[in-house]
Amino acid sequence: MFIVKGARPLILVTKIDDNRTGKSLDELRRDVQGIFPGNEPFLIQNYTKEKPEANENTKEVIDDIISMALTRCDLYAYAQSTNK
Amino acid sequence: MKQFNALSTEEKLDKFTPGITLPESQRKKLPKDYLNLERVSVAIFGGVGSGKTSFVESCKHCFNGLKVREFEGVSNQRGKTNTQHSEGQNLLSKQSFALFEKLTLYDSEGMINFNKDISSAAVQDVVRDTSPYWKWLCNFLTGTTPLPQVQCVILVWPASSDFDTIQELKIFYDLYSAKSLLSFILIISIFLFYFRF
Repeated sequence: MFIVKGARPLILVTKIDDNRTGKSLDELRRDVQGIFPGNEPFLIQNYTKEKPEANENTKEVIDDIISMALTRCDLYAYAQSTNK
Repeated sequence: MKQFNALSTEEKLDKFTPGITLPESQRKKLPKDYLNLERVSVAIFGGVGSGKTSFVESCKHCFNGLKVREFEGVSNQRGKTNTQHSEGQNLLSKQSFALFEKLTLYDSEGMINFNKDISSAAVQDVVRDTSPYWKWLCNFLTGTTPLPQVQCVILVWPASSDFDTIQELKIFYDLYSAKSLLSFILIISIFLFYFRF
C-alpha cells in the first residue's frame, strides 16, 4: 500500500482560530477525514503579523508536516520506481 | 530508519538524503536520478487566501529565524518572482532558504474558480482548458511539465472553507492521486498473474 499513500497530498487546514467555523478541532479533523478517508490532516494557525505568537503547538505542527513531507518524497519516488 | 525517526525536524532536514526514510529493501529500488538528488521538492497548493504563503513563512520563522514582522516583505518578493516567469511557469515560485538546503518548498498562486474551469474529472478534458494556470497545472499532474519535479504536495485550505471550495480541492486531490492508484492496480495485477501461472 506504499504506492497510494506515497502519492497522496498532505492535507493542511489553516486558520483554525477562525471563529466563523464554530467547530472544535476534533470536528474539523473528522470533517477532513470524511472527505479524504484515511488521510490524517494537519491543523495549524500560521504565524502572521496580526498573530505573531500563533498557537502553542504551531511549531509542533510544522515539525510534523515537514517530517512527513520528507517521508512522502521518498514514498513517492518509490511508487514511481515500481511503476516503471 | 528508527534512528532517523528519533531525530528532531531540524536534524532530519540536516541529515536527509533521498531514500533514507525507506527500509533498505525499498531504498534499493529507488531510481538513481532520485538517489542523486541534492534536495527534494514539495509544492503547496490551495485556494486564494488559504494561507499557503503564511505557511511557508511560518516554516521560515521556525527554522530560519525570520521575524514575523518581516512577513509582508517576503510576500511582496514572492509576487515579484511570479510575474518574472514566462507564461506557463508562473504557478510556482521557488522558496528556498538556508536551513532547508535539503528541501525546497514551492509556493503557488492560489486556485481560482476551480469548479468553473474543470468540468470533468478526466485529465485530458482539463488539458483543453486554455488558461495558462490550468495548462500548467495539468501538465504538472500528467508529468509533462518541464518545471522542477515535485515529490510531495501539500494541499491547503482554511478551516472556514465552504463546501464548494472543499469539493474543488477534492477534485484536485483525486486527480493527483489517480496516476498512483493506477500503478497500484497494475502491480496487483502483475502479482496475481505470477501466482496464477
